Order: sequence, then C-alpha cells, then structure tokens
Amino acid sequence: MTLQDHITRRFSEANRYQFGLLAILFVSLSTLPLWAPITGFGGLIYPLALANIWAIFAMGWDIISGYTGYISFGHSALSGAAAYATAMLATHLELPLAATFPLSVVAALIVGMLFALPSLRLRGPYFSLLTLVGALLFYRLLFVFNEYTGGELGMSVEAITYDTTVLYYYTFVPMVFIALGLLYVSRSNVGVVLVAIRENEPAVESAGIDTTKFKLWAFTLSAVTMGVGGVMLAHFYGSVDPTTMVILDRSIEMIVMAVIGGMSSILGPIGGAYVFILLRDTILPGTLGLGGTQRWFALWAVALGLIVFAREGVFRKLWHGLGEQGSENESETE
Amino acid sequence: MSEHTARIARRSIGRRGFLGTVGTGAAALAGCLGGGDDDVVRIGHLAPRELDMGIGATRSAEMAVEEVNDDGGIMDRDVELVAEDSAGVPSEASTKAQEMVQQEDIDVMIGTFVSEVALGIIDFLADQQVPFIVSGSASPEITRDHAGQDYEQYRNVFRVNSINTNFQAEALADYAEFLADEHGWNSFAVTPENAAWTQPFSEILPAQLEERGLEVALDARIARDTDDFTPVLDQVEASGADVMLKTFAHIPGPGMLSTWRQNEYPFAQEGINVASMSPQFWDDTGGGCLYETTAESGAGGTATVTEKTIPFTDDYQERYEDRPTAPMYMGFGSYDAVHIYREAVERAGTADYAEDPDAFVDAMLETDHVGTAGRIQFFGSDHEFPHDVKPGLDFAPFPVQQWQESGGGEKVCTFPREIATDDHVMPEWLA
Repeated sequence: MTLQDHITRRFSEANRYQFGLLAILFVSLSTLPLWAPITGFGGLIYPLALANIWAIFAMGWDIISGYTGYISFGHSALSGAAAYATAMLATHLELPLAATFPLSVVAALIVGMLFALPSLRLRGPYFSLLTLVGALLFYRLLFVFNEYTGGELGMSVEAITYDTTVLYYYTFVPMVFIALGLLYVSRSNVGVVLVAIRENEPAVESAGIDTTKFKLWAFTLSAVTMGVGGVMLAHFYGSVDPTTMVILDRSIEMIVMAVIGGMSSILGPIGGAYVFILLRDTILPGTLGLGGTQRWFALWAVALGLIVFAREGVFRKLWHGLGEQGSENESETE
Repeated sequence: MSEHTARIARRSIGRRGFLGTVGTGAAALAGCLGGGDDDVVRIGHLAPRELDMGIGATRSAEMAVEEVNDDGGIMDRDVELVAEDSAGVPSEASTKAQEMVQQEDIDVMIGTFVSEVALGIIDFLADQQVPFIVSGSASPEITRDHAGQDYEQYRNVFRVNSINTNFQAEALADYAEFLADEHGWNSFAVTPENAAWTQPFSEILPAQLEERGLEVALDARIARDTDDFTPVLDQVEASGADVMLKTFAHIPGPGMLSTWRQNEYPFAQEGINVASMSPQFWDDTGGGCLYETTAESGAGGTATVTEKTIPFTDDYQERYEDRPTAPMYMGFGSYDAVHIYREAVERAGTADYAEDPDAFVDAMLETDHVGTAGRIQFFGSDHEFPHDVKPGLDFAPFPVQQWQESGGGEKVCTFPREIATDDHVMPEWLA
C-alpha cells in the first residue's frame, strides 16, 4: 500500500485530483516562509500565521456545531477565557508558560462545561441561546472585573516571537496536528454518531446510544481546541483585549469561517479561516485600501455572498468538483 | 511569479482573493525592493483614524512631511509618510506595526493615541530597532517602565507629546489651585476614567491636591463603558465637591455634559476631556459643553504657546474644512515629531537606526526644538522618565481651554496665566 493509499483510506475517499490538491496546499503552506519572500508574497506570512490560529478556532467550532448541529454562538468566550487566563496568570501570578498553557486550556474547558452541561440535554434553540448569552455575559465580566482584566484595553502578555518565519511555524505546526487529530475523530465511529445526532437525534437515542455523552465529548474536544488557540492568540499579539478576543463578532467570525469553508469537514474551516483573515487583514485594508467601516462592511458583504452562493462551503464545492472531475476521467479511461 | 505558484495561489484562495493577493504581493515586493538603502526616508504614522484625534494627527504629519520635502527632504532624500489606522486597539495596531516595519520598511514610527497601543507595540519596535517617537500617548509606563528599566533595549523610544500623566497630575493640581484662587473652589471630585494613562490621576493627584491645601471630596475611577452618567453626577453632587476634576480620553461624555447642564448640577466640569478637544464638540453637544474645560497640548491652537502654534493652526484650517477643523493635541505632537526626527537624523548623519543607534539617540538627546506645542527637550538616560519630553512653562506647558459663548461657542485658553487669552468663567448657575 502506497503512502497515498494509506492516507486517503485513513481520512477520506479522495481521488488523485483531490489528493493532489491537498498535497500541493500542504507543501506550499508548510514551505511558505521559504518561497513567499522571493516571489513577492512575503506580506502573506504574518496574516497567514494569524489565520492558522483562526483555523484552529474554526475547526474547534466545527467539531461540535458542524458535526452535531448544535450551533454555538459563543465560542469566543472559550478562546477568550484561555487568552485571559494566560494574561492574568502571567501578569498577576507571574507564572511561566509551562503553567499558564495547561491552566488556560482548563479555563476554556470550565467555561465550555458551564455552557454545555445545562444546555446539551435540551433541544431546539436553547443551546444556541445559552452560548450566545453566555458570551455576552463573559464579555461584560471583563469590564466588571476591570481591575484584573484591564477592561476595554486589556492587558499585555509576552509576545511569542517577532520573527515572522518562526511565528508562522509556531502557529502552523499546532494547527496541522489539531487538524489531524480532529480529522481522526471525525472520520471515526464517533464522527458518524455526531453526524447522526445532527440528522436525527431521536433515532440515535432509540438505538440505545447516549447522545448527551457524545455531545459532551465533542464539546470537550472543542473546548480544548479553543483553549489551545486562545493561548496562541494571546501570545501572537502580545496582548489580550475584549475587542480582539471575546466580543460576539469574533464568535460569528468563527462560524462564518467554518461555513465559508464547508461545515463538518474540519479541513474546510481551515480554508475558510485563510480566506476570511486574508480578506480582513490583507486584501480589503491593504490591496483595496478600505479603512474602518468600509472594510468591515465589505468583509461581511463578501462573507454573505459566499454563504448565499456557496451554501455548502467554497472548499467543499471545490472538493466535490474535483471529485466529479476524477470520476469522469476514470470512466473515460475505463 | 511562476505559473506553478500562480496556480497554487489560485486554488487556495479563489479568483477574487487571488487578484487581491497578486496586488498585495506586488505591493509587498515593491516594499521589499524599495526600502532600506534607497533614496527615500519612510516615516510611519499610527493613529486611530475613526476618531477626530487620529484624523487631525495624520493630517498634521502629512503637513510636516510636505514641509520637509519642500525644504529638501532629510539629508537630500525624499520623505514618504506611511500612515496607518491603529483603530485604537492594541491587536490591530500590532498587525499594522508589523506590516509597516517588515513590508513598508519604515525608518521611524511616530504616533499612537491610546497608551495601551503604544505599550502593545513598544517591544516589537525595540526588537526591530525602529525609533519610536510617541506623539499622543501619555502613560508614564511608556518611558519609566521601559527605558527606565532597561535603557539599552528601549533607548529607541522618545516622547514629544504630551507630557506624561505623572506631570499632568501635578499640572492639574496647579490648575486646581488656580481655580481655588479664581472662584474659591476648594473641594474636588477626582474622577479619572479607567485606563492605563490615568493611573497617576488616582495615585498622585489626590495627594498633590491635599499638599496645596485643597480637599479631595471624592476619588473614584469611572468605567470606560459607562453610558448612564446620572449616578456619577449624583455621586459627585453628594460629595459636596465644587469641581468634578475628570480625565477622560475614551469616554465620549456629550451625554454627561447635557445632563450636567440641564440639571444645573452644583459643580464645575474641569480637567481633561479628549472629545472636548475637537473643535466640533460644541455642535456635537448642542452647546452642552459650555463652561467645560479641557487641557490640551498646543492650547488646541487657541493661544500663542510658541510663535509656531497659531501659524500652524491657521495653515491647517486653510487646508482642511471638514472635521476636525483643528489639529487637536496629537496633531501638534505628530507635526513636531516629524521635524524633530528630521533634525536628529541630519545631526546623526544617518537614518539607519540599526546601523548606529548611539548616533541617533545622542542626536535626539541634543534636541532643543521650538515646536508648535512648546520648546521640546528630552530627559536623559539617567532620569526616572528617560527620553520623555520636559514639562513646564519653559518647555512643554499644560494649557487649559474653556468653552465659552463668545463667537457662537468657542474654546479659549484660560490657563496658565502667562499664555491665557481669556478669563476662566464660572457656570452661571454657580455664580
């Protein structure tokens, strides 16, 4: 069995075109700092380093909401909890990264469980509403405790590095490992149950499966992922503040990234995050020179357009397009 | 770009994104090829351009760059302004600073209004060996807790404007003494907004007031997201204070002022209110700001702080008819910073800081520049606030302006007496 066969069997039923696309994307992204500066794309390294972190968030959202259909509108509270835990532990207790990192992930997990435990047993819009209100509450708490959180302007954290190449790999490598881990889970029987919950939860329950347990596991996985991303985001900027980390817009952005890329696919949300961050931080303000309000208006207008015209997600559409291409070619050769 | 690379880019980000990316890449490439050792000195300017303050500052920096270019540039090299919008948010500013240094290849960074933004990019600029001339952020941490702790690492940081808030706290206490002399107001409610720059107003100002024999009736920090000011105004009233001595940069305040004036609360509105520095604040508040004062560098262009203040303000007003119709305090700072940078580079003989940091730092420390906001000199390396602008009437003064009814609502300079153009007026309901 070739490596390609092994990988394609493990993760999906990709044909050679699809596999080729994945391979080209992976190789070009993993070597970005080598070729980008000499081809004039050096300006992409920093925004894509940030996009890697947002890809982690989008995947973290996808594993619970994309797969089970329990749509969370408050995931920025999870990543925000981790980011703020990092900043507060480092500033107030002067703990090293080796301590702040695991504790911050635990903080995300605690906030996640506060969302999940009371709501995952409920049907209908309650879960979404609870996550939405939970994120609003978390945002306000940052102001209530502003003597510890720095209020609106937040607080400083040690930046991980100022070398963009190193920064890129600091974000790219964990993103790839998280993607592989979540792909593994989503392609396993657990993933099948999660999708089945989305499609027909009563049917899954009537088969004797405790759906709440599966949802809790998915949420745990999601919260841990958000925690890792939150810590990374805090050290990426060297600061935490409510606007960058917690405000409801950030939760919506994660959803939009996942939807643009293609929900319940893990890899799609990575693409969605790349498109979204490049639009937000590079193409709209830099290339098109849009400032302030215009930039955000344009960003959301483009996002809306992509959602309307590629409902299943841009990258899923591309993926299926290549799949059809492959099967046509295969039938021709037959 | 090879066809292969183009194909990868096309696949990964789609057609629209691809077109944009090509543009970005081309711009980035131009930046890489154009910077560093070429014939252009690039001055970076970072300000929140959704605020009047940031617009005024950016325009003022543009004016200074134009003047420098008209006068032969810097060491015969053209000067280019790379102005970006910080949005007043540290993370956004970090992204912009990164682009400006690594893509646009700026030689110096001037600007920042929000102190947290300055503190958010200070490590990056020190690491990248880019001079940072602060023209609007006032937190003492910017100098004291950086160059003051690790001079070698942070000697690239200078502040031309405004005087840091430790000095502002002392100056406000002097101003309070002036109010006590003028109107017999002896009791003060110290109400800073909750932000990095206002720490000294909580830590130093109350003691400074008491040293001058004045009473501190209330000492309370105001949350920045406050939108109902009635409880705050009631609290000040209950304290029996004659003056609400506030320091607001981020709290907008129009609502508070109209509540204050309509209800004729029995105390005056004094101190610092950045929103009130806008010449358009009278219209914004429907005249609700009448009798309010705000301290502002360069006296907001209302008085002759130096011989350059009024001509610069007039020149600004001739060029720009839309808001803000005055440079506002950061504008004076950014304008002066460009000229000070030029003089220092010419003294040092190089715009390449990394090549010879000592030459630039020494040249900056020799600065004795009569700017629009005062005579600018910096404290040396041994001072508690290394490279901070010297405060005081002989250097960078702390002028206070009051909104008065003359001319259909205008700001006039009322303090210090040496440069004041008009008397301070007591609100009519307090008389």
